Amino acid sequence: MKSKPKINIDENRCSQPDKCRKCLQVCQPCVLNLTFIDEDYHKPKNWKIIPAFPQLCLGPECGKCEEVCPKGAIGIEYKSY
Amino acid sequence: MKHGANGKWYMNARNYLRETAEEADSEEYLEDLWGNMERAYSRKVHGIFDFKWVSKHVDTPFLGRFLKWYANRGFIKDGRTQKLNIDAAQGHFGQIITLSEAKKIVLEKAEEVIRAICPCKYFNRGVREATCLGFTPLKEVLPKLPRFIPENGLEVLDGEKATEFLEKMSEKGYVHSIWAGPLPAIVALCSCEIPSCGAIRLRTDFDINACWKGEYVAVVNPDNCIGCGKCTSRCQFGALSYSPSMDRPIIDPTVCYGCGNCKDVCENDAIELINRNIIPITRGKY
Repeated sequence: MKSKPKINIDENRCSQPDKCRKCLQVCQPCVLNLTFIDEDYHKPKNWKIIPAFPQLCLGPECGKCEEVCPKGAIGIEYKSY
Repeated sequence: MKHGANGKWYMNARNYLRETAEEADSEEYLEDLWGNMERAYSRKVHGIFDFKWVSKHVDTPFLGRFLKWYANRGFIKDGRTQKLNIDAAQGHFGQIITLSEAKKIVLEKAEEVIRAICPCKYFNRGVREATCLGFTPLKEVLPKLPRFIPENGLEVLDGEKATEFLEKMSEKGYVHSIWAGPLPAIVALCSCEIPSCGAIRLRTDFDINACWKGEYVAVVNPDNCIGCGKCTSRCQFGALSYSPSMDRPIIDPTVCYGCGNCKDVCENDAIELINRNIIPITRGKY
């Protein structure tokens, strides 16, 4: 059975992603992205962090983004398929 | 794409003119593209797929080849005659250039040069750094997008300041790239880094040709090399490695993007840039 990393980001805990941006800076392969939704970047609540390229993630063993997140909003686990 | 001096599209002074930008509707295009830059990977193309999804399927048989073909032909579309899908960044063609070419562009070709916060480093790396040089069309659009204006405001740089800036960026290790928005209007000269450049990483990680390789390939001249190894930390693309047996660097021409970063740091002229098209293995492979 194969498995690949799955990155869960709790949007309720990650409240100010455009101000914080700590997880983006620690990720070596640049998996995470800061983006906004609904084509409206003026509202702070429209900004969020998304795992853009989870296939490049180094997995739970790396876990740098989990450690650095001040709100504990990021979790990485193996998803089996 | 009309070529200029030496057959390089970015050396054609016409592509920097205000008239060309107007013909290609550059301002409207840039307002949409730069205004949604942070959504570059999550914007739905035709309401169906985004680059995030494409990146997962580039290795899928048949589907991957189709997706790459669709994306690659989009980037080189001409803004004057073809209909562009801005969601897929069509017409946003880019190429790697050397430091000396970049200097020539800001000194001789561009009308006005400004500095802007790099959107890629912001949304990929969370770093706000003014590393992008913009030309006239971008200067007109940026006041509508204040988040990309540096702290000291929109300042028009003269030739001397711009070349000084480019040298500083090269020294830091950034790679210079030139961008159309849309073709043939040239709008920006960026100092990029991998993997945080939104377009170059599509190329290096997923083989989607959002950015073409430069016109050159770096070659080591063993007679001049003293084996100091200064160049080994400069290659962003992983083309240069150090050979312990020969005590000098070796460069893989098929991986080299011809940015000249390794050449610029060499004090003994031991690395030269030669035309990509005279080496059989890299001929025509941009």
